[in-house]
Amino acid sequence: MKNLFNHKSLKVMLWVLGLTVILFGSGLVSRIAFLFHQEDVEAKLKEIHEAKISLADITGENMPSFTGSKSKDTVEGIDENNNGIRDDVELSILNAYPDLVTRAQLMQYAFALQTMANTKYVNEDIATAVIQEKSRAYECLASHLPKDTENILEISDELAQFVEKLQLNTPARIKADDNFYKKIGSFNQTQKEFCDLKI
Amino acid sequence: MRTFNKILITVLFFIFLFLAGFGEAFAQYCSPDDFTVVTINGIFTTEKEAVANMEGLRKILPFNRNTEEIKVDYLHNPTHLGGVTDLFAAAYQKYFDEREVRDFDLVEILKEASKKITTQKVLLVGHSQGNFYANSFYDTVANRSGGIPAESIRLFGIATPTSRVAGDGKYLTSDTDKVINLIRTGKIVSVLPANAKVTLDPGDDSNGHNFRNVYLKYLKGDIIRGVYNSLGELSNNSVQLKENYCIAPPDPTLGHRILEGFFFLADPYALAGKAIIKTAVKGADYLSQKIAEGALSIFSKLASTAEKIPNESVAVIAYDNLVTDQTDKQKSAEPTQQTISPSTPPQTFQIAPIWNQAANLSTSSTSENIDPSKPDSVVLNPSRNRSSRNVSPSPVSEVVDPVVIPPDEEDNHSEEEEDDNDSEGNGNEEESNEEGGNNGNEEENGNEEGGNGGGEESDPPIPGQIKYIDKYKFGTGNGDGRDWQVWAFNGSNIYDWSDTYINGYLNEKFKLQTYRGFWCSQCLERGIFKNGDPRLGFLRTDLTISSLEYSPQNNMIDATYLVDILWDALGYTYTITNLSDDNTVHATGHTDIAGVDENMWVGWDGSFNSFKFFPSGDWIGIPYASPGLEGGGSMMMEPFAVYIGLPLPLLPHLSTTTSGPYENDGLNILEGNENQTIFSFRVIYTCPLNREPEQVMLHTENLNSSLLSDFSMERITSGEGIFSDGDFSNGEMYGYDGTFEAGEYDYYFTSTDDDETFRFPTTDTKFKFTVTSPTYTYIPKYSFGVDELGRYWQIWAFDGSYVYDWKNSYRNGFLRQDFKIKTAESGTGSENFLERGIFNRDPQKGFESSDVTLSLLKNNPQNNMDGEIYSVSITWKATGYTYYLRRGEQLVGYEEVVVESLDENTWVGWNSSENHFQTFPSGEWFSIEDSPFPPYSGGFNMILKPLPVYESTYSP
Repeated sequence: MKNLFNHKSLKVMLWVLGLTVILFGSGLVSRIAFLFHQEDVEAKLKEIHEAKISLADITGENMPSFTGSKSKDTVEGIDENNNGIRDDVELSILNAYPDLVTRAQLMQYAFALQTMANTKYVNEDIATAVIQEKSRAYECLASHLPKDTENILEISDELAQFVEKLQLNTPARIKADDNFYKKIGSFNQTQKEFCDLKI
Repeated sequence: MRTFNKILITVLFFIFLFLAGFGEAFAQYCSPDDFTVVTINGIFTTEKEAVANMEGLRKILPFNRNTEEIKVDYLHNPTHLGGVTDLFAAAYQKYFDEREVRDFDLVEILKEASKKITTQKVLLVGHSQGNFYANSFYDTVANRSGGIPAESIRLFGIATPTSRVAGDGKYLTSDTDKVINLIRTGKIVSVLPANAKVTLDPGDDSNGHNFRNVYLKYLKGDIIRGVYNSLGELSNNSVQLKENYCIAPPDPTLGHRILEGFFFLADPYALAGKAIIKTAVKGADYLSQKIAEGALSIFSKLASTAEKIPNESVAVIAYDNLVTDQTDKQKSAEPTQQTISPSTPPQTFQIAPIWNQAANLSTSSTSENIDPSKPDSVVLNPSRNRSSRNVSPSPVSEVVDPVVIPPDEEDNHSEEEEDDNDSEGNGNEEESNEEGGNNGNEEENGNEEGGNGGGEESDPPIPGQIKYIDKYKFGTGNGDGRDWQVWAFNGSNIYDWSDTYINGYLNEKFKLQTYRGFWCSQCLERGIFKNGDPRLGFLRTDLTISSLEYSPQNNMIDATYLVDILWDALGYTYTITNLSDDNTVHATGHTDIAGVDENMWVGWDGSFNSFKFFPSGDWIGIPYASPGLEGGGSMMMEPFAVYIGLPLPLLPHLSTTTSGPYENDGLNILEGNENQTIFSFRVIYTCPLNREPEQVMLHTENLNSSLLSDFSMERITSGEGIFSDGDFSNGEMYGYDGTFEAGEYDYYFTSTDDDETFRFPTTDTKFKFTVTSPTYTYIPKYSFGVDELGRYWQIWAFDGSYVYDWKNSYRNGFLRQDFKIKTAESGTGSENFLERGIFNRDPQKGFESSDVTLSLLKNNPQNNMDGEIYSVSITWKATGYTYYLRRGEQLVGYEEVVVESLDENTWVGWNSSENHFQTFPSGEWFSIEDSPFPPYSGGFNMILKPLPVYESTYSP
């Protein structure tokens, strides 16, 4: 019997068996960990894609108070009314654009940019989802105009730049915005509805 | 043991591969409906720019072609190792332009494409170097197993440096695209001819090469047509099954994974190194311009020479990296011809053969030539190219900037993979030091913190840009634990500095105290910055310096001035008031400034500084002649925007009508009588968000008595048009009507909303009105009854008659007055009779002659001299009064009198007809002893207490 276990072939077989168990166990642990992680990620993805601006945001019913220069202290800024749009940006949009259609578009774009500022990096999927929403918000800009409008790109860009100028108004915010793109993967637009609100 | 290690390593390796594959599988299908348009960017394009390019294209394309949706996506062609490997890739791709070329990025692109493309019909839109990938993409997948049948895939090239568009696709290249022209004019390689004309505007990408800012801007219609027509050439196929991927997913090889890991590890270091090189390049900007002036001509000579060299990679490198040392380039080009050899693509494929082919090619035979991990294996030495750029950064970058050295790209890469917080340190510090030119400042001032050399944020890489540091400014916010209250100059002190906004425009005020014996050679200095907050960085060209107009700093007298500077759309108004000389105006005027907007800022320093040294400030303690305040010299004020349009107008605000009796000041009349004139105040409260205010108030101050009064204003709910329609967003009118004591008045309005109070007019401005004393004030002295001296006025004596038993009563709210008249039995009588005064207001609060109507008793018996007693009864009613005069039971007089405009403000009083209600008080007492009508006491010339003719609550 002792000789049997000293046999070279048997030793190799035991090694293979043991390693197979280790391999399977490692894979199983990894898979479980992955599933837990994936569940969190999917919940977060759902949350990102379902987050929308509301009518109260564009009518000003939910208007925040003026925050002044303190709103520049952090990348995230101040969102006193907790609607996902930085207060100073929100006030500026409300002030500059009285018509609800444009307001809704700008608010959505500001909301998307602010989501970029607020989102801590978890993984590429989440970063990509945020950019998808930003891209969707860009497509929403000037979407009330026909596609063949002569200067639709310029109009869209003008609106986008209006928000970006407000939103990215400190070097830290500009930098954070640039860095965010480095965390994303290629994506495609999965939603056909570009605008959160139909007005 | 050795056997164990081998087995263990093998197992762990497979574990790695196994785990790496987790989660990648996902379900999708390949729809025969709809189109997918995919952009592929060129070299040195960031992910952000790639997204922006895609978004721009999607913005201009229609949603559908016929009934099929057009999806627009992008495939990012990333930059690796600071772009070095991409340069090699470009050279390699150019060399193999006529055939399929596969490398690491193509594998990545194909991998992404497999995930993203969900329609059979696909159009690839390449830009610049992305066209190489588009061609290779086509060559790799078209009509290949696991790929896309040729009838379902097309290419559309934009700004293409290629000699072909695979699959006979269309393309669009501008004749003013300098990047493509440069390659073409070199005559080294074959490039598709320009087929579109673009006239660039000043301010455009000077290379005329940018996808979004040039091609989408100027050739939008051509691109739409090109894409639309290309889509029309696509058709469905029966090869791609709906339940499968449109493009078979990749099966990465071991080599591919190793390369992936290599890039992951090596990219951060490579990019950091690149950032350092770029910083040095910028620092040598001037030198580079001089050298680079001849770069193009040298290049042309080189190109002519290179015509003899049948190697396309020379031109490709030139195109992608124009700023190279020409000698190095020429030398390095030669061996390339020897080392790069085309390989013949495999002709047979299995289930996912394209991936294996691509991976094999990129890691086997071809990788020997272009392996980015072995730069020496490629003749063009990237490090030498980079070095040459350091020495002679070329102005050519203006010509081909987007392709060669996109500034954003470099900035991005300089920070790539760094933690947001951690990355804000050293690199930027170096950049700031070199560019800001303020290093000497730190040494000069000895400040450890702040300064332009130790920037906390990343500075925009603009040569010559420096940051304005508002230190040391007034207050405790300088981080030194001190409260800077006064700014000391030689001969003057400045304090009580305030910055506020009036109607969105900056109002700066401060006190300027001058004293004798000292001369200020370097006085207060104003800096106007035209491109936004100078604390974020400014150029000298942004700055305009000026002095305080008619500055009294060197007046060398003991005086204190108030300096008031109020900005407006055309500049600012300055007013300097001498507070020590009865507030006389020392100087005032308007300084015109062009271009006042939100981007114009103003700051202050001393003229010794001229906004060159930041921070600045020397703590003194209590400076000479200071009014007890601590502070220092050489200060640097906090800068402010001269105009903030936002968001004040959005807030609730008060205003007045712009026409009518209440225009401009909200008051119907500016002058009236004390306690008589009703002043009607009207103000319009507007809330853009249609919110009702908590309250609207009128605030008055009687400047004569210093009496402050607050009156709540009521909303006027009708009769004022839109101002009484209940919609606060277009304004609602609030009113207050009232009378006032005599005096000069200031007044203003406020509204309160959510604990925010808004004032109109704005701070320090008030409206005015005047209340004057009335000509007459009815004083009911002396009247019937006991006066303050205890005298009992029972009879009112006239010459020839006596009035007594006077009774006032109210019935149904209307006044009734009854009294008796006893006439003398003899005598001459009198011209002085009972006189009634009917007033249109309470005359005790003052009245004018026009406010009273005088009348006598009808059939007045006072001069009858018959010794009879007459009874008088006057009963008021809604239209006037009824008068009865009786002698005994006999009615001897009767009258129905109509009084116009009788209301609760109608009052009646009595006096002697010789007085006419002009002299108050009036009355001459006689005692019982002197009474002409004993036993009654009383007097002459009495003035009876006035009464309202209607008073529902009156209780006599």
